[in-house]
Amino acid sequence: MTWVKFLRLPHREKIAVMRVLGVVFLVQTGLRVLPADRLARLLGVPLQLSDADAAPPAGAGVISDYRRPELRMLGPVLARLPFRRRSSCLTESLSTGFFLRHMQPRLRLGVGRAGEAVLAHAWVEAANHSFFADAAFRPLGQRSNNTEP
Amino acid sequence: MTTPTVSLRHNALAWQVIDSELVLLDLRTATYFSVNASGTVLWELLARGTTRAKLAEELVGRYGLDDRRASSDVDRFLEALESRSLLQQPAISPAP
Repeated sequence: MTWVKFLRLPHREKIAVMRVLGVVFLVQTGLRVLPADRLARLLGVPLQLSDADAAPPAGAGVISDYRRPELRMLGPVLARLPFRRRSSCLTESLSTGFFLRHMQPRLRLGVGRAGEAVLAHAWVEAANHSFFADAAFRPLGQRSNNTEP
Repeated sequence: MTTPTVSLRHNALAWQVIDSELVLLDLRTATYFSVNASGTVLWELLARGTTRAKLAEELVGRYGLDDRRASSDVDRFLEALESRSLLQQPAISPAP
């Protein structure tokens, strides 16, 4: 978002951009000094490790709160940060969860394979919806899929 | 004398099996580890709590190893987990 575009935004959206910048700064600073699960708990987006075998809920993101200006601004703001962290999905998920914290969001971490490499991904679940979930990633938990009962 | 049980440190550990390889995240250190197929078999027993003897038996039964080799492999695996503070309590020393 260039300065010109920012200045042309309605007042409410300018406020939203400033709030998003503040939350993203808080999340990125927090990730440097705290374990991710502790930061997630502090932000009101606790890490969900149970029911690891459950598929992510379908119908991603079509809830009224998704129209909140902060949530609409989050992606564009993150895309324009000068120094993006490698774990941008975690920043995006924690920030989204923070803005949805009244909906009891849960942070999920998952892993998936891309050829020989193992990749990690983070997403948020709230009110039976997933944000940033990717079917290629299976959620981390404390029970393996192939564990016999 | 009862045989001590060994189990994983459940606090701040999360994992998933992908293509028979276990991927583990230690949330305390934000470190990912991967465990091969035979380690995954042991891991699943450790997740429920088990004994060193049962771990070795599992390797013997599943992979046809002799007892000595299986015990040695279990010791090495437990040492590796212990060195990364992934076990609930110290691994049992091998019998003399």
